[in-house]
Amino acid sequence: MIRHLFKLIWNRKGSNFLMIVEIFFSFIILFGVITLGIFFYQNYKKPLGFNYEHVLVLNVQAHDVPAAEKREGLEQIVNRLSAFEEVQHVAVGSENGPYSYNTWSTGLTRKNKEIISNMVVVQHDAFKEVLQLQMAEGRWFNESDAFSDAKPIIITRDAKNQLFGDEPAIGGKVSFGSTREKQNDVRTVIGVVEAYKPRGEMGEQSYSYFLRTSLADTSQQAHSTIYVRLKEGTPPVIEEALLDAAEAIGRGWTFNLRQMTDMRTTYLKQSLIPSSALFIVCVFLILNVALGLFGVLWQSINKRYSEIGLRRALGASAGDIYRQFMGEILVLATFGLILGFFFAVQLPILGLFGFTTATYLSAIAIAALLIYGLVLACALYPSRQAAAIHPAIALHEE
Amino acid sequence: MLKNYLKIAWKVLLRRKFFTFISLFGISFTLMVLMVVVSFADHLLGAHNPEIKSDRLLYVSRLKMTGNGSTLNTQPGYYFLDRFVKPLKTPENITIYAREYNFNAYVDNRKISMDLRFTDGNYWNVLDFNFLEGGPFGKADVEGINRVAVINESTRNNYFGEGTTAVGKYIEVDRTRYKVVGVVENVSATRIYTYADVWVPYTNIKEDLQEQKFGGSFEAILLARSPAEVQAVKEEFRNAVKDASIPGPDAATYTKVEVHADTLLEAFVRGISRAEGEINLLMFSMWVFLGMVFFMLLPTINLVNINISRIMERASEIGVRKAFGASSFTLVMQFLLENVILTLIGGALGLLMAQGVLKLINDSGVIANANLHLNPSIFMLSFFICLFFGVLSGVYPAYRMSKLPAVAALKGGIK
Repeated sequence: MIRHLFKLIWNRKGSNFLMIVEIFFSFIILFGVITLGIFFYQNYKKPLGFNYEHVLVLNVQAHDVPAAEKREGLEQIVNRLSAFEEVQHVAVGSENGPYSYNTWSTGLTRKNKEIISNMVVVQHDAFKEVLQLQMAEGRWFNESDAFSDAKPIIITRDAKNQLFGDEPAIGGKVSFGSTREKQNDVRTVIGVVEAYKPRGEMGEQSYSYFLRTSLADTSQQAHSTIYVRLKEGTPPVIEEALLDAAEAIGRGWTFNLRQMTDMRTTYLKQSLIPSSALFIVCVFLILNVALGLFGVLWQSINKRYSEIGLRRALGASAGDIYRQFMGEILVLATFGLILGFFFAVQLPILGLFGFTTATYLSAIAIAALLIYGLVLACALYPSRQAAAIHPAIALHEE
Repeated sequence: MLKNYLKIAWKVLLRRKFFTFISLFGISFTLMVLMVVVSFADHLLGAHNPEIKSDRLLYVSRLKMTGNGSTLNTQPGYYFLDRFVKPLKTPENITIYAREYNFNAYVDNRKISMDLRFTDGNYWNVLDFNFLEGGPFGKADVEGINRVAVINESTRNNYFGEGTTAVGKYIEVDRTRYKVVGVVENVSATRIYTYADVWVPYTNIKEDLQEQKFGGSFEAILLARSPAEVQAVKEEFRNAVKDASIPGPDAATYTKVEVHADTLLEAFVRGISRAEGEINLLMFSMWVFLGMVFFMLLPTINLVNINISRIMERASEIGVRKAFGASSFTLVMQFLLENVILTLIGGALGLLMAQGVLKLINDSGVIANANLHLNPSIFMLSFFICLFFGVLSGVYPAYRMSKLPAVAALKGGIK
């Protein structure tokens, strides 16, 4: 039966060629979209690790100010802001906080394993409370860690799994840079954070590490972003009071205060809009193809009126005709898919675009299933029409 | 004759409404997407308010320093632009300004988020802003570190209230009061080098402008005397920065500085491709063309497929025409014409849909002050895309049809 169907399609390859090409391109497009979809979904599934609500981000630019004065000023601002009744926690940290568009990554290695990790420097212990980070193992920083000879470091659970596998991470040593270079800055892991995705929900990066420095330590850079956690239900007017307080200390400095929820909205908009536009366009392309296939199938059944009549007259049941047409379209789709599979499988083989092989393979499988579903749905109505043809009328027409 | 063809084409369209719907659906959607993309590109890169003279403008907006395995991508600082861009002889005019800063203002317990740009006085001569009231600030204001500001229309409405005038009033920016001297028409956020809500003299910036470092947060726009002189300006700039040696603490890390004067399109391509050296626009156009072809491929194949079905349905008509002596060429032309009419109808629908989508984008506020619209040149381009699309999807089916043997066609088509 199946061999027979293949033969039928092959004999009419001239007129079926365009349909095969169409199915091929649809498959390629679906494959691309689904690969991206799986990628985004996998990112989305990973926990965010922090709470962006009721968080204010205050960027401070102190131009022309001697370093010592800046450190002093920052410390004073932190103390002044903490004194507000509406403020729960305040901490100075590096500029590359969540949704900030600033990225700061370095290599992190342990033995022969290496990851590219996001780097966060915190200068107050309250950073954990401001972003409500969760500890999975070990402990968070305390004031003494800034000057500790053990050079403590805290990593995320994903980074730990990648570097340590099943081995215990607490007390383990990691170092900066790649495996190729010689490593001199060796750090001791004191804690593992449940998760931290600096680029938000859709972000890919889930490897992060945290370092603790002190504003008082002049050998370390003074960072200039102040993270503030407000009590729930605080009205936005408080922002002006906070800015006034900060301005009173840092005269002539530039302050930029934003709510992390606003930053998040902008950030997600920018990453979601292009992908949803792409998605809509692809859906319409596929819909277009589906309608086209439907039309062409309908037409071709009209053309094969007498053939159907003859088969019916020779004893084929309506179900046989139905199965024949459904089978034919499946074989047609298979031809297109074989061609598509050949191209799609090159991506994991050549390691292009950096998605994992599992992502590619599941995308191929889902795309193929969708294509089969699509062609079957398109063939359903025309095939039923073909099956309903009455042999006497069909033969009579000829 | 033509009238007859048109009549036949119309009748055929009405006869098989489902097929007509599929064809129109595909055509109009494809063309809508193309029109929206083209209009977006035009909005981003075309000559629009305030960059009307865009064919004479060159942008210095990125600075890259490399050395000892590290790379620093930043914007040029004032020190760099002052030393290397200001002395250029070939440009007619030069403006140096800071990239935009975001700040919040609080009016009546409302928070207004605005973008601020620090500019020099030349800014208003190099660019063509439409002033709704008042005028720009000048050289004297900049040198005198005057607290004056030009604001856009939406800031006037947000800050001072709808339907009021703003000139002479004071606006508080970053804890400092500035006197409004002019109000300009809104500039869309897609004009990344000129867009802002408030513009003030750069001397008000709280930054040490004379600090000896190349990186910073400034940009420059160079106005060539004529479009033909753009290359000469680029050449002069290239020679000026060729032997620039990095000053200050950066010299310890970086050895080489790379900076270009790009046209708007080149700057855009550099932004997305992170290319080094001069931008190869030919290569870029080729990629754009390939992308467009790939996007149009599927709808075209689909249309070809449907057209073949439709034409074969009319085999007996073709047989009659052939039997009465119509040449293949006449038939091909007739069917091409029919298909072109179909695509033009689809194009018109697509145009309406594109209009709607653009309005949706404008109203959604995704892009601040966006004013996406279709202009005559986009319309002409879409028209040619329609024709191309129509001919492309009609040629093969018409050819297949014209090859039908007359006898077989008369008998009712081939199997």
